[in-house]
Amino acid sequence: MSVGLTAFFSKNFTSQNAQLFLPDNTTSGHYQFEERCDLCHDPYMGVKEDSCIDCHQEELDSINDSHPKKKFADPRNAARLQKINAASCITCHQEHQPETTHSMGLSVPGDFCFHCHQDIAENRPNHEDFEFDSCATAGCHNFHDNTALYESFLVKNATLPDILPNPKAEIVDLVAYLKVNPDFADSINVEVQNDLQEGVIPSPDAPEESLSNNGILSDWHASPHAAIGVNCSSCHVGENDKWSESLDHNSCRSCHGQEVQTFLQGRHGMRLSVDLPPMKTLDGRIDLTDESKVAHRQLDCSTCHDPHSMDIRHASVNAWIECHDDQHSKNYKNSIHAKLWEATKGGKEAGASCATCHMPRHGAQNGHPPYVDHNQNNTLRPNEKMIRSVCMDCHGLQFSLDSLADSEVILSNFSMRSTNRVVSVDLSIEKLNKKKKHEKQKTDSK
Amino acid sequence: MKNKKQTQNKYTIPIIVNVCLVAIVAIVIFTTACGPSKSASTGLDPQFVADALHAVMESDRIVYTKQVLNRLVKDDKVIKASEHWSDDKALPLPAQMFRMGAEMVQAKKAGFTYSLLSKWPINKQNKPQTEVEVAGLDFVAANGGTTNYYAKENLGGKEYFTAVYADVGVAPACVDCHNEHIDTPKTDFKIGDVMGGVVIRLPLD
Repeated sequence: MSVGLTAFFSKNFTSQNAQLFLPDNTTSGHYQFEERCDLCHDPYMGVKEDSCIDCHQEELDSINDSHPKKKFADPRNAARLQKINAASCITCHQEHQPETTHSMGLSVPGDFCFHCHQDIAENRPNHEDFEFDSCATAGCHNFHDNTALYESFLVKNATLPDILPNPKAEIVDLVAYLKVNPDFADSINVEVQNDLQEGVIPSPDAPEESLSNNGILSDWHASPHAAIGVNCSSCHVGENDKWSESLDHNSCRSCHGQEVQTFLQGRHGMRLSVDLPPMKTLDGRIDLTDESKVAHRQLDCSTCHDPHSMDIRHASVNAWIECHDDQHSKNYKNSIHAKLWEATKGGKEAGASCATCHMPRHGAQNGHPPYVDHNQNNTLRPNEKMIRSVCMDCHGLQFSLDSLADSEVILSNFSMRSTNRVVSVDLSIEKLNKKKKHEKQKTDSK
Repeated sequence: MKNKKQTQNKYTIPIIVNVCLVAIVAIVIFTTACGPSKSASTGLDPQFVADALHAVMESDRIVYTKQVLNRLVKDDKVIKASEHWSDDKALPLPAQMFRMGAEMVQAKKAGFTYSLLSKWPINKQNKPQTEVEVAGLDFVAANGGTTNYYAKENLGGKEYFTAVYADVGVAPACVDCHNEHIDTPKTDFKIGDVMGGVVIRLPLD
C-alpha cells in the first residue's frame, strides 16, 4: 500500500495538479512555480539539500554573503548550531508557513541574531540599548547582504550631501559600445554606421505578406535596430531558418543576453526558466491597474518593449504603471523623480523612471557590453540592496539609508523627506573618533 | 578530555626514515586534496596528519605574507592591502587568504577543518569557543610558539583530534595591521609574537 501511495503522490506532485496538494501558501518569490514541487522536493517530499542554492547561490556569491553555509561547517560551531542551525537555509526560511512568515521570507522570530551575538554590547557598548529584533529592521544590518552597510563603507561615505553634485544614473548605450567593440558587433552580426542620422537604412527583408502593416515598418525604420542593420529576419528567422510571426525571449537572447538572463531570474520571467508557461499578470500577487485590460497579458520581452519601435521611455514608466497599482506606483507620477525625468525628455537623462531604480543599468565591464538588470530581486528585499547600485548614483549614503528605512517615504514614492535618522553612520563615526582620541592620549602620555 | 603535549623535533630521525616520512606526508596531502580525509580510518597517526597539513598551511601563508604582501605593500609600495580588498581594489590580508581557503576546504567536505583564532581577535567571532581552543591558545601563547598543543574533544556528539599551532607575526604587515585596526583589543604586538593560533580538527569516528 505504501508503495502504491508513494507512486501516486510522486506522480501527482510532479504534475500540473500538484497545487492541489500544497500544504499552504508559498512565499511571494516561490508561488510562481509552486506547481513544480520537484524543484525543491525529492519524490518523498523531503527538501532537496541544494534546492535553495541552486537558484540563490549566484546572488549570494555576488554580494559576498556575510553568513555563508560553509562558515558553519567547522565543528567548532556545533554548540551554536544546536541553538539555531544557520547551516541550513530552511531554518529561517521555511516554506508553506504563511502564518509565521514575515518580511524577507523569514519564518523565525526577528531577534534571531541573539543566538550568536548576545554579547555584542561587550565590544559595542553603544549597542547596549538596542533590541535584538531591531538589528535587521532599522537599516543597520542584514544577515546576508551588507555591501552597503559595513562600517568602513559607512565611514567613507558619511559626509556625502543628500543630493550629489553631479547626479546621474548609468546610461546603457549599446550602439556606442558596438562602435568601439567591433568584435562584439561581429559576434551578433550587426554593422554600426558611423553616423546614425546619415546611416543607410536597409530594405526590410520580411516576406511580402508581413509588410502590410505600415505602422510596424515606420516604427522599425525609426528604431536603433534599423540603424545598425538589425533587419526583420534577424529576429523573425530562428535556428530552423523558418520565418516566424510570433517571437519570444529567445529571439532577443543573441544580442541582449544579459537582459534575457536576468529577466529569467527575476519575477517576470522565472516561470520560463523552469519550463512553465509565461507568467500571466492575473496570477501576480499585486494590485493591477485595470484588470480587464492587463489581466491576461503574458510576460515576455514584448509585453513591455514594443519590438519594432524600441521605445525605451515607454518601457521605463508606462509599461510599469499600466500593471502596477500599489500606492508606491500610483504616487510615481507626482514624485520629484518623475517630474525631473519628464522634464529632461529627449535630452540628457535626469530624475528617475521606474526602471532606473528597479531595473538599474550597468556599464560595460569585464568584456561584457552594458546591460539593464531585469532581475528585480537584485535591488529589493531588503531594499538596502539598491543603495550602491541605484540610490548612490544621485544621493548620499545617509539620505539613502534614511529614505529606504522609512515606509511612509517609500509609499509616497519619495515625495516626502524622511524625518527618521538611521544611526549606523553616526555610531561608526563615534567609534572612529573614540579610537582617535584614545590614540592621541596614548601618544601624548609618551 | 585527554591532553598530549609534545615538543617538536624531540627525537633525531635517521635520514632514511626522514625520506620515508616526506613520502608519506606527500601521500597524505595528495589524498586529502583529492577526496575525503582518511586519516582516521587509514590508521595514520592523527597528530602526524595534522602536523603535515599545518606545515603546508604555514609555509604557504608565510610565502604570501612575506613575498607578496609585505614586499608589494611595505617595501615596493605598489599596491595596498585591505580588509575590504574587493571594494578597495587591493590585496586580501593574509588572515583573509587563510580563512577563504579554510572555507573552501569546508565547502568541499574534505574530511578535516581548520581555522585561525586568537585571544585578541579583531572579529570577535574568531575568539576561542571550545574548551580545547581556550586551553590550546593559552598554551601556545604561554610558550612563545615553541610547542604545539594536541587534544581530543567531543563536539556535537562527534569525537575530534584537535591540534593548535602558534600563529606568529612574521612581518611588519602582520603586527602593524593588527596594532592599528579599529577593532583590535591589543595594540603592542611585535614581530615574533604569538598573535593567535591555527586550529586543525580531524574526525576520529
